[in-house]
Amino acid sequence: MQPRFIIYLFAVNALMNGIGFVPRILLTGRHDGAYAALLGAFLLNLFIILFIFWLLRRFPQKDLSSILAETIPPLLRVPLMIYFVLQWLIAGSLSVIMVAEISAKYLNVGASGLTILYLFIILVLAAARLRSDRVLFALELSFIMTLPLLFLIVIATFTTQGILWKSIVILLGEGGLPDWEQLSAASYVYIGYINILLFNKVIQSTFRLWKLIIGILVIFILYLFLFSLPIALLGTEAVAHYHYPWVITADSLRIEHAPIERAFYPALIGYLNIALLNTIVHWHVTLEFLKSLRPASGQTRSTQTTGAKEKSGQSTDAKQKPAQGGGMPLLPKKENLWQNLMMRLEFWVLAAYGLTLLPFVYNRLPIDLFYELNRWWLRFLLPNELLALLLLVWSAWRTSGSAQQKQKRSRPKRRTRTA
Amino acid sequence: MQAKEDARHPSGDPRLLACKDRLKSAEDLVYQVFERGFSENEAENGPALTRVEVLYLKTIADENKVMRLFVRPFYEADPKTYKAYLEALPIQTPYQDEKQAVDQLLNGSALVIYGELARLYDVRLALDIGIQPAEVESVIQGPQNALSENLLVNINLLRFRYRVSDLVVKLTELGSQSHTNVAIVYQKSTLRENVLTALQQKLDDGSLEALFAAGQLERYFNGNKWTLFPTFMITDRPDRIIYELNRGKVALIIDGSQFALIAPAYFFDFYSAMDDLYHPTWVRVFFLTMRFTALIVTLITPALYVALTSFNPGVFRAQLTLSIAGSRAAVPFSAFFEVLFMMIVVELILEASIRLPKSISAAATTVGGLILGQATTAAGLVSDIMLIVVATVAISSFVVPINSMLYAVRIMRYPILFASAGFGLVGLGVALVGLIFYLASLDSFGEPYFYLPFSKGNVSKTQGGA
Amino acid sequence: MQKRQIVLPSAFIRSNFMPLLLAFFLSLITAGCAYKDIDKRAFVMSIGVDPAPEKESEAEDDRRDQDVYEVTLKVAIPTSDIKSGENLFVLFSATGKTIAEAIQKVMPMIEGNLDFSHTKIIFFSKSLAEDVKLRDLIDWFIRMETIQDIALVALAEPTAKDVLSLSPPTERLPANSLFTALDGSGTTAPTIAHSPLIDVYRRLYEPGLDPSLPIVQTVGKKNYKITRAALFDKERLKLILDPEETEWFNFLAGSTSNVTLGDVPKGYFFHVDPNRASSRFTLRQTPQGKLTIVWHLVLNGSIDERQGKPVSDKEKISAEVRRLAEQKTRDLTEKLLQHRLDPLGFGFEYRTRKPHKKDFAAFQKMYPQLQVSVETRTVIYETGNLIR
Repeated sequence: MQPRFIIYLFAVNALMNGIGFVPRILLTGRHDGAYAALLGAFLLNLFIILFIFWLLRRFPQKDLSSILAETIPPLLRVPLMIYFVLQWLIAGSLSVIMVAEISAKYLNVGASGLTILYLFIILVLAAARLRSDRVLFALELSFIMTLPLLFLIVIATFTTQGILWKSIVILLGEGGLPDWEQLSAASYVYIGYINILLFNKVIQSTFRLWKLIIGILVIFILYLFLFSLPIALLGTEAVAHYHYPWVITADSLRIEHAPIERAFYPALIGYLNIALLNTIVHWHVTLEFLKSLRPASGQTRSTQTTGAKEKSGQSTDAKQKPAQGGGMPLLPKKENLWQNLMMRLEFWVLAAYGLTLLPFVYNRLPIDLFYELNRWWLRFLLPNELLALLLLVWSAWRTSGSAQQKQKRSRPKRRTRTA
Repeated sequence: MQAKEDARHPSGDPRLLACKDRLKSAEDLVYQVFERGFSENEAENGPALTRVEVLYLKTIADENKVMRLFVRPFYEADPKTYKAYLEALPIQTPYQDEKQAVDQLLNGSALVIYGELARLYDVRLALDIGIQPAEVESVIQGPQNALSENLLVNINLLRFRYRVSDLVVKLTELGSQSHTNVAIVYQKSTLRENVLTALQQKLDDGSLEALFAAGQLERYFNGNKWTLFPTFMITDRPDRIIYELNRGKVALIIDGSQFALIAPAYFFDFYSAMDDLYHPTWVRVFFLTMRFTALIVTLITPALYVALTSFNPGVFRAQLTLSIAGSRAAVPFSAFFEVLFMMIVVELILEASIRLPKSISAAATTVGGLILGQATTAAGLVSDIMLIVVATVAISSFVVPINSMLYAVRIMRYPILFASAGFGLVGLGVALVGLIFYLASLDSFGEPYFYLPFSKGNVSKTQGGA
Repeated sequence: MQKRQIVLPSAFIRSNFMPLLLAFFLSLITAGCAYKDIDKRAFVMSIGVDPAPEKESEAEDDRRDQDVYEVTLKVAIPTSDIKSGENLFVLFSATGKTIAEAIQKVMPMIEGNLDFSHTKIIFFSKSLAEDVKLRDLIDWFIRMETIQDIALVALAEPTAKDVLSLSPPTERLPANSLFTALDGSGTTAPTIAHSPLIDVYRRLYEPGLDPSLPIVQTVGKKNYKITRAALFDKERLKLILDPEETEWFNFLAGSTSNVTLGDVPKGYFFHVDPNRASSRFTLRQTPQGKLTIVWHLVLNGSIDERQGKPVSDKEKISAEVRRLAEQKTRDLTEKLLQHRLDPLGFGFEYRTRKPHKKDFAAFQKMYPQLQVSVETRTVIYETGNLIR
């Protein structure tokens, strides 16, 4: 598949500003160098992302677990993958909880957040179990449908009075050095690319790297805008009074002559979609990484699929193959329930977690606790990125030399897409 | 008398054999050799002149004409004059090279080889039986004719419009009882292999008893009883078939049916009208946009009405909110049932107008649309604004160029409506994301059903940057 | 041809898509608490808050227990065809120690569920704004998720209830006339500035930027006028500007440029063209170390009317206009400085240069002693249809 799908992986996090606690965390530190944190996170992530994509070219059409399977002993690989699975699982869980909370609060006023959470989880589970390429197709179209809604905010910015851009000058003047938490939270915008560790098996990672630099620069500028608008509109002090500054910002924008006066509703629906996509992508990665952990069959299957991918990649595009790729294992028509359960064990584990534990936790704990959990989890972002980078460097080093040369020879020079 | 030779005759004229080789995938190609006993003046003219070879496509050339022009004179005329006779025949071109000859053959010519003489004669089959203007998928500017119900005529129509040498026409039978003739048509150079494999596999399965229409095949191929979206395209337009063949698809033409089936089909194909090819760019872009707007309007408007009136009345401006609330004051149902009832009534009117003979159906729509609509609002059963919503939805659902997608879209409105009745705007958002993911999970013959046809040559281009 | 087993998608979807679909419909059944038909909602178009009427001669205990607020809700009666003059609404009032409590008391009075999503204007009566902190008044409104953050806030005189009960003859929708006026989408009267809820809240916490609200006064039983502005510090109502000051205040604040200057005895009216007038200020440090507010006014306008003995010289009129503008600006700014009010954001501007907290504290200390100077540019670029 074409590299353009990487854009959507980035966007899944870059546009998450409406939902979740990242704006709040960053805005809490607005007097202590939040802008420096944004810049720092930009530079740091630029470096990490370029490096990771550069390294991934050595592993065409392989995901993280199959890369590690070749270079790291299982004793180390399994705990590492479990760690990654947990990280992805938490990322998705936090998104889905936040979006349920915000939907119940602002869109369906008076509805129970729990029911909405169930609804979202059902959707996410149904979507996350699709094949990886299908997830990307759907992601693309969902984005194209959602972007106009979010674009309304930019339009509304021009027609709204009372935006004091000078507030930003004040905060910029204050200076200050950000702490680790700020830096890590500011990295959240860029972190969407990390899903390439799975999707690399279906996306061609061969494109010019300067495109990536431009992309990251665009995200940086976009986020500067998205971070500054609440400050300019809600005030340098009052902005920290809100749970979800961006929801309030959207509510404060007014499009005077539009049929819908308030930009609030379209924007919120847009953010809801983005958050759902975010969860779908994260839980899809969780599911696929879980599958790669299967001791007996999982090992052989993963090598099989990558083999098949490479073979098919020579003649046609990866997505033209029948359904034997990354998705659910294919089954004969007649099967008993137990076999079904065992074959899709990972899915049912995720479903059980999503449909019982997560709603239970959400129902019992106050939302402030999720704020703390989010802060705590955000601290792991940068270390996780660095860990992934380290693993890739190690793998690249291990497979370099003869293996790399073999790969180069076997790599097809041109792939034609007949689609 | 007439010696019909096997196609694999070892000794043939090399020029003719080259043409034949080029067209070997066409099963409707006819190669005939006629021989006559030794004549008295054999010594002067040589043995070659006792033999004439003819090559033509039987679906496109008139076999009677071939008989009348070449075969009968060959046996009846004086061998000395036969050559002169051939040279004197009208509408002929001398054989130049193989490529030119194949082009002419595909255009309904017959290649006649008589010794050194090699000529192409126009013996085009002019059929005027059963070709009707296309009504199901109509265009304004563009070819107006539809497929007929005759298989040979249909292939003739295709060949006239599309003269490529690697067009494969495979004739098979389908249906263990009905033995319907079916032609599988595709273009070898652009074909996607796995599509044909999948199709062939299904055809060989042989569980179908009787075949009458293309739509039947669609369900048969699908395997799954519970599909909603068409994963095949059914069309009666020759120009569309050619357009799709050129894009590497396979067409299945059924004898006795006016409709051909094209596989695979992608979601977005159903939104391209043939008119798009015949219009200037901006017109095309505008109408494509309109069609997708109509799709979105059809899908979400009923759901949006329920969500906005029953969950988030704050979205509207105050004027509209109050006037909706005011017009709903007399309505005894909640908004959800109001929408549901009216949508069902509209479906009934549509279904009635399809089933009824054309002369009555206009009356049915008048009664249904005008009188019923007027009366329901007057009786206070439905609010005025609701009627506007339902009418908008009905109109915009007709914009789909291909009929089978229209039904799918019409049905898809209901789950979205239910979701939005349960969860308001949240449910609407979830239903749309769910719909997109559901569509993305579909396959059409091993091809993903739902992807955006962006940038054709992009893959190889970016590959070069590595 | 190579034969490959093609697995059609159906098998792959069917397997456990169905249970999920079922679960979806189950969750559909359990949902629906938020479902409420539009005709079962009572749309609150406007809210007014007044001080609760005092109970007479009660015991000390009772007085402590006394209600603080009287909240009035203007609820629209929906009609299917909106006609002029048929402006239907009902007022509901209740008292409470908090605004939320009072609104809770209104709920049993109406058959529909109170819906605040169209609450466009919030009125506080002037007397309440003098007694109660604005932060307390506004708390419930900013906290409610359903109330629009772009709802407008205004003071009402004599009481909010009186203003709410107005029904101007031109009005077709309840509270729409006042909303259109305050919102600026209708009239461009220079005395009206609009102050959305979110802006008021911002100004209540922003150092160096204080809130100001327009005052709506009733005129007779049906009409109103908005000619004055109320200035707040971070807590209470401190100063009310008269109409002329309000007009000039709005010009200086940049919310209007549609101002008129002139003198009937002197014989002309100078109207500033909305597209060609602007006002802004800078802070300048004089060599003596004194901080000066420098106003840069551009008044490019037209002569609208001449009365009596006309002044023929345009230069003279220009000079007169300049003098008047400078006089007004200086007076108004000095008045604000004296009252330690900062609705124009002098402190905010100062913070953009020196953002640190202790600098700002020093600024606040010397605030009344700031110098004012005005630089004006005036061009009379047209005189209407007449040449002179």
